[in-house]
Amino acid sequence: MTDLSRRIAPLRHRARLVAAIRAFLDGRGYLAVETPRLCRTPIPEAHIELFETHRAAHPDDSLWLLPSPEYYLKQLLAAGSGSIYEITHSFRDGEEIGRYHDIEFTMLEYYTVNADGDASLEVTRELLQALGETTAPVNLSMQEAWKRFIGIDLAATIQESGVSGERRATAKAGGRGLNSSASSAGAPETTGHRDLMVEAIRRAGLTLSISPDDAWEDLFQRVFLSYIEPELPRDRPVFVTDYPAAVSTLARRKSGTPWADRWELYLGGVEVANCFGEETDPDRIAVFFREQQTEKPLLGRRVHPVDPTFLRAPPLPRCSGVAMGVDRLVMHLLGANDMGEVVSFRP
Amino acid sequence: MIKGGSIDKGMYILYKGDPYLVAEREFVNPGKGAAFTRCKLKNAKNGSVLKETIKTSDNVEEANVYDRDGQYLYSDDTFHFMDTETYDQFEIPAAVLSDKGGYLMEGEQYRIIMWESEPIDVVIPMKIVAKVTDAPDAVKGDTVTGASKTVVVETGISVQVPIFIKTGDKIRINTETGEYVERVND
Repeated sequence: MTDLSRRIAPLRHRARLVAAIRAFLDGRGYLAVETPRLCRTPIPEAHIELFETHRAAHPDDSLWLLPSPEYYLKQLLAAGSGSIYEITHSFRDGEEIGRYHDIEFTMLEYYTVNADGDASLEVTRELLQALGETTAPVNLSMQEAWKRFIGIDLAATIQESGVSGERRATAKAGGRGLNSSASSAGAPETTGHRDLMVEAIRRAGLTLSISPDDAWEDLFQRVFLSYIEPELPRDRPVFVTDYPAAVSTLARRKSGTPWADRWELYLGGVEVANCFGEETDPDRIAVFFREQQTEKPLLGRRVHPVDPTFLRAPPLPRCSGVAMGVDRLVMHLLGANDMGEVVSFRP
Repeated sequence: MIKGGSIDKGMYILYKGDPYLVAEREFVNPGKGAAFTRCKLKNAKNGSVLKETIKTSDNVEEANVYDRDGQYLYSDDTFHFMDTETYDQFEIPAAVLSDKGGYLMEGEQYRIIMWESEPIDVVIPMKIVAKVTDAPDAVKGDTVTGASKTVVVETGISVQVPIFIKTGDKIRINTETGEYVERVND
């Protein structure tokens, strides 16, 4: 048997699983759509390196391969599509080609209207069940995870800052050290406090090396990846909920708390899905865009044009969106050890 | 200097002034945020293990290591080697070798990893063949330990083996797991 002929059987399983995902979402009234992979004004995300391409006859016309279908799906939602989903290829230049990563991969995104992250969690739990996942999932909040595994009170490293998102974007461009959630001008927001985090890390006796360049968000990520993610239960699905709002994303903040309406799903200890109760305020979205655009060149990434009117009129309706890595999901359900076992080819 | 994303398993990096062996490495990308290399680092001087997560874009200093050949002579508190070209003798502390000391065969040549004139590691084969020097007779009807018993081999370490292994047999041992692989017939 050649390597490729060995992959035919997993591909049959994969086809059945993808058909089951579609049947599940179709049956619940989600609209299946197909959107382009090419885009002139993607959503700016500072840490994601995009592939850029040009038309032979129009070398100045830059087109970008999308890292997820979010850009188009959100516009359809704003136009009144109702709950919607797409299973499509996504492209990220900065990824390593390895066991769990590739530069081209398959993503499922589903958005549920009039819903928050909790409602999406319920849908996702039922989807996993429909796909044959037999163990019941557990929910673990980020705050609880930090307390349980390393004894750190994460909330105590976060403060109400009262600094507007606009001012922060400027501050961050000039220097490092602050991380806070995007908000419209004047509204109080949360800020990760670097010194409090450093002290908490020292008190907990973690051996992590801390450089003067590490902002609060860097330390949050490094502690999570070194000490918490590897400890998450592997024998059942885990929903890690309530990420700090100080990690800037397009998730809305849970009002009156330092947390964002955001969760991630781990299967066998591997991150498989990310969910946002979506930010719908066009001003806050614009602040996020500006902040990411400012940070991109600082991280050495190419800057692409953005759409200044994105989701302004009409705005995004109240909704919750889940992005799920289909290759990793199939790996988990088939018990595969490497993404290469569940895809037809790797680029 | 190398980038955090280029850290590879088996590489030595300088970390807090000490040379560390990269024992495990994994690319992690939290999706919303920067990409990282998550690794387990083993201090080459004292064997202590650290967990560290390094941004793929951060600079990391590679430890400037080089090789030296040495013939293993014997051990007391430390492990004694000889450079077979110069006949110079040198020692490697037990803490540097940790479990590897139990797989060194007297008279064999080894590749020794050096850093700033100090030996920090010895490269040993994945599997070694060693003679059993002390094997107890199998205890009849002993079902608690199943079909295995503990023997001592010529390098001084104990190994779990099937009950048919006798004193004087040669056995193959996996040096990564410390497990018995098979009996070797001459």
